[in-house]
Amino acid sequence: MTMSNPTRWLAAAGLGLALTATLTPLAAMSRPNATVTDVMTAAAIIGPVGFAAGWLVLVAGPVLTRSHAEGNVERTWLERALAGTAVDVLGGTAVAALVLTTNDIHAPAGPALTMVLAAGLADLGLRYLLLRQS
Amino acid sequence: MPIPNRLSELRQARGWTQRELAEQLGVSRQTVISIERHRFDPSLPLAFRLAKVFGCRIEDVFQVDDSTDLS
Repeated sequence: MTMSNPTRWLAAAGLGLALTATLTPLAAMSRPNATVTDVMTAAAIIGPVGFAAGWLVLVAGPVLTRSHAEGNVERTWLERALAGTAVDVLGGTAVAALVLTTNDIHAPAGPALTMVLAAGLADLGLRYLLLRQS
Repeated sequence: MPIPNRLSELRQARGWTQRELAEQLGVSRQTVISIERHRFDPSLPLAFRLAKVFGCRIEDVFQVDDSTDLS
């Protein structure tokens, strides 16, 4: 199926919204007596991940899997963004690990890893958009 | 600093849209736009495909001389 670029972006946004609307209640339900703040926090974390997933599947995917994808400027942007994100995630994780270790703080692994993933995807999306605009 | 090129001039001389050229090359329209605006240097295989599509040599598409910054 061939979609125009605006249609792909709209579909990606729709998928992001759908993922957020589906996963947020599930995440909120996992916590007994969840408050509105809990739900909003879950949505704030899941939202960017959902939109990033939509972008990856519906916008970047079709472009990056064409027969001559290696020549596409989008691939160059993605490679540069991924390289920058890798440095950011490694650096951020190293600093966080240092702070947690030196202060003897015990953070729950699940939420911490989810935060790293969400921050990494948000970083990747932002870097890609900045490269696209440059 | 991307290498100057005559992509836009050659494409317009043939009456092709950016989308039509992109389809012939098997790349995205955004790639053609970025090359035309001198914001992206194509890979060597893509440069060869460009030359083939226009029926000319690579150096007829990309303008490299002694003053071109290749750093």
